[in-house]
Amino acid sequence: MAYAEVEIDAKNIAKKFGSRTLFSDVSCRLASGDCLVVTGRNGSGKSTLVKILARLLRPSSGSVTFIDGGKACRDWEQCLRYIGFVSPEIMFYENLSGRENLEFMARARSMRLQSVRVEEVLTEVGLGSGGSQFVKTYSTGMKQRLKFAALLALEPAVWFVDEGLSNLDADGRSLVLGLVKRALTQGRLLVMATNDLMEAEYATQTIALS
Amino acid sequence: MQHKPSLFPDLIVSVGAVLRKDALSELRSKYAFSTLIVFALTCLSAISMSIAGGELTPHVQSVFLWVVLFFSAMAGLGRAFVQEQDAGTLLTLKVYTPPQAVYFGKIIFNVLLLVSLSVLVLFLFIVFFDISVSDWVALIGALWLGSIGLSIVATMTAAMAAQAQGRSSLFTILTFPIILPEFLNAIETTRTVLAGEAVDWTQFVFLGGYALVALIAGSVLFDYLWVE
Repeated sequence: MAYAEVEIDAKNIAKKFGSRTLFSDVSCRLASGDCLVVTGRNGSGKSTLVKILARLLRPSSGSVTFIDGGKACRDWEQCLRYIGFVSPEIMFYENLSGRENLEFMARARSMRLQSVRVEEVLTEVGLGSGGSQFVKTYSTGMKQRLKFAALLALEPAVWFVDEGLSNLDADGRSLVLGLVKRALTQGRLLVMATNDLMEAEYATQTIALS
Repeated sequence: MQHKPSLFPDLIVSVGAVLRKDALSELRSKYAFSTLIVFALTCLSAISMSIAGGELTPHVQSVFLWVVLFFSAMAGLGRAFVQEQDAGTLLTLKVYTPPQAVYFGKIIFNVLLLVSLSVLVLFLFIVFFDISVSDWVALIGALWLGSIGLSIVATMTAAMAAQAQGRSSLFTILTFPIILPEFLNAIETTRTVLAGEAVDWTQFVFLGGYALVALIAGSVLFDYLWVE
């Protein structure tokens, strides 16, 4: 499996909304095979911190650096290529099928996704026959599975997973936990925001927000 | 997973993906094009009935033509980013698509939409107002260059307004002052052609040049707009 071995160096991150400080002085250094689990009560800023670590949101202070092969990655587009993102905020194009959504994501990253591979990942997440249906016909659980299908298809080096087990049935939960375990075995870097003890089991580092 | 072979640079493949995605969504929903057409038809019918067969000077004809196109664009082109915001797909687009691919993909889609509409509006305009055209190349040139400039500016301002409250009015308020020089020049160039006067080609250079400058300026600004 060929993918970049990326490190993330976060230093003294703080995020404020107006006069309210959500969190401050958060630092971590993560390498391939690490799993950072961010925990905290509702509204403590778990999702915000994950987006900042993914460089999708600017911190109020502090810095996040992606490091590839010992060199800091300054280019936003290059950083984007490393990441896959599962979050309640990630939505799909409802007028496209599950398969078309995956193909769009791959082509948007200038990647060619073989149709055989699309079928494989859709089958793996339990959407085999649903791949050609429009996403607007999907249940929330099916959409959650499709988000993980995107991770499998695009093979990013870093997985950001915010509430990865939400909206999933028992089969779906064990599927996702299996994917997380496999990703770590493959040496990918994972950042997860969760309060689920089963997901938190995989943590090599933990940040608890208050 | 493989990178596309080097026949096309990465940016072109990504732009193509955005364009294909928007075109597929539009073909299935038909929202933007039907909005543009309904707005243009309503305006043209209202104008046609209100003048009740009366004569219009080339200047008034040109103003009517561009007012219809401008407000049709305001009604439909803002959808480029508002749709992403409303459907919650803006973050998906940010995660999986390079900013410049989003920018150029959306612009090409809007240009194709408005240029297609301008052809339809011109045809209806000629039928409704019984206009004779002596120089078709100049007329279509003015119409298309003006439409391209309008689409580029509207796409950029749509991106600015998409995440704001009251974005519909903000979109028009932001677009109008920026497009004004191009808009006035397009009206004057179209008037010249409709009046059968000798065409001043520097006006076409201005129309094309303005669109090009807007395209480049928008490209530089877009990366800053796109992150957060």
